[in-house]
Amino acid sequence: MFDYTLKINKKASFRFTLTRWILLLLAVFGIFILIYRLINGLGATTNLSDEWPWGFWIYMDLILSALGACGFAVAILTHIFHVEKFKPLARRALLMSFFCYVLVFLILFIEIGRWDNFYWFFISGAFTSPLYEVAICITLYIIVQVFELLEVWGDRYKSWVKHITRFFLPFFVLLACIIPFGQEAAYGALYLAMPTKLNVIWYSQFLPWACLITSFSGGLCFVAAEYYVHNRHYKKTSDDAMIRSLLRVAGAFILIYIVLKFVDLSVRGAWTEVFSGSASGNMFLVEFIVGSLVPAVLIFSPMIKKSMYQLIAAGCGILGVLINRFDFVFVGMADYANVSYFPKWTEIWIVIGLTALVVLVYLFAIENLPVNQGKNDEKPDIVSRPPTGIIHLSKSEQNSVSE
Amino acid sequence: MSSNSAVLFNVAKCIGCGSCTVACKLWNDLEFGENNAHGFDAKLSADSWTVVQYHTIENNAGQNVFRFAKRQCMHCLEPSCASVCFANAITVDENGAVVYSPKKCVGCRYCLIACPFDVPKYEWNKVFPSVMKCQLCADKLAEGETPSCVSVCPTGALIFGDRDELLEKAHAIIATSAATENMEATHYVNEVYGEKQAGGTRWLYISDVPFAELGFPASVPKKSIPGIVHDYTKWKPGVFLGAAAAFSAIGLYTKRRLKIEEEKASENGGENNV
Repeated sequence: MFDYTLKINKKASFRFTLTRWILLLLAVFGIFILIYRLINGLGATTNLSDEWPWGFWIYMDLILSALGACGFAVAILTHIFHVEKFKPLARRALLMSFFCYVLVFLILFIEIGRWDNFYWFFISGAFTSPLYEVAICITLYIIVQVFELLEVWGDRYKSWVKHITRFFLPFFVLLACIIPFGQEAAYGALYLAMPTKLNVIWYSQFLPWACLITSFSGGLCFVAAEYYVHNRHYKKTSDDAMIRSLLRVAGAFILIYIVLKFVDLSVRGAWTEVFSGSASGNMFLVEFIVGSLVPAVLIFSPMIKKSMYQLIAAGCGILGVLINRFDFVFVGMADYANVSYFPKWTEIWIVIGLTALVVLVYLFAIENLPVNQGKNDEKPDIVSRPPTGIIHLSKSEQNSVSE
Repeated sequence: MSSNSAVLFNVAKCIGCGSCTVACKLWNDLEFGENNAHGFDAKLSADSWTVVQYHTIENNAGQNVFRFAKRQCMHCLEPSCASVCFANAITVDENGAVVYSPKKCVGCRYCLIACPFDVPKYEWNKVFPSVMKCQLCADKLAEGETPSCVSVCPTGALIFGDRDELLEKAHAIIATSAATENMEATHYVNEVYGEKQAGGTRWLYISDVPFAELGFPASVPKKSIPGIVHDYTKWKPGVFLGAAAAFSAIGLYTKRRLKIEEEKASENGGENNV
């Protein structure tokens, strides 16, 4: 009874299933709270304080950006190194990355206290601030991604747009592969300004570069996991060999990270803190074992041929990034803050609502744009059951059907 | 008018009257809220840009004594808050005061978390909040006057002047006290807090009790925090340009290789067909 297809025109439609209605409900709820936050300020809607000026929202920005690295990580493989077998993933990774960054941008907007002043940073030119680097790079990256997506859109809907964008595409792809080096590393650099506050395990000049490396591995694992879930949802066969190769690339980055982090901890003599039994030490061990050692072992063992182990490896790779960011945003800062922090329900529900909204738009995009170009993708992405009803948005469409 | 302004606070001379906190609130039009600006539990807040914290400390002679620590923005020579500010809302003015202009502030709160002395506070309960911290009475300095807290101090614990001269004076006081043999006289700790901390600050402290016991953060690095962040930022242009050059070269090379492979494949295919 909830299953309706929304027909926008001949080439665009969106199927509403029960899950998607729930997502829509969450989105509407989240937007109401978002407006409540904008009207009432941070004190009324968050548990942030002078001791914890940054909390859940900054954490969400960090992890979404790290997962959003999937777009440029795959673009470097397919458009710089021209690895043909990953081509089917390029557009999908771009789309995933784009929506991650849109979400980052939305959350940044509600996160800042003076949202009425948000345009100031564009003209301030605060080049010494890592946060400025983050914001400028994300803004530029989203613009570049919009241009790249115009090519995808033109491919199906307007051929002249496709021709124009294809002409400039190599230049924009190059930009798209370079700009993210800015924000991914700058996220780690944010915490370089806190030498007395962040735990010694994470505080080092290596932190920005660790963030950059783990964003590559996390992004590639994200693509692999999405590929698996996507094909299950739309009942398509998966190309396991391709995902295996992709995970090997991610595994290479994880190995680089393991070696460099090992050297970093040894040089600074921080191993005593790791094994001291403190919250930070234990959480680092969890992060390092679950997020780095387990996926590395899985990826470079014969087990990776099975799609289930691929999913586990990819999941651990993603989890590694999530725990790593959690550790230096919360765990490593907790000793200094000496006050507890847990996000208020409004903080969490705004993020859930915005995520639901972005997931809906993502589903709409992936079911209408020509983003999947693999061998198994000749069949379009549609939910296989027939809908119970169709809602027409344009009149001409309705007439042609009734005739 | 001195362009290298600084204030020297002599802990041994402070009687904890709290006049400075009142003068500060009056000049900056801050509310007298429920929280005391001087006392054992006094803490910097959005309404209190300066506080006098009371401490009971055992001195060299084994007696419990009262000591009072006036806290406010340290006005670093190279302020972390200004360098990390998202929108250049915090700047250093011509007299050296670290000033904040709410008009430009975006509200990212990076200054709160990046300050090694935890000075900036936020108006959490306002819809459009501002960062609140001591401005070193920048408007008074511009007129050639001293900051309001210094001007009302009844004991001379606060001295306003040129930073280099005050440093000289502070070291002279420490040296004289070390030379005196009278056990009853004040003996200063051989450190001027603020001379080196975070690359040097405009508020300088001398004390006859250890600074850590007065609640001053001991682990603040001697290197300025903007300097630490710059150690990362300086690599960035190279990373961008290097990546651009490397990616262009690799892209052209791999594309060419792909084309040659395709041509070979089609040639072979053609021969087979014949």
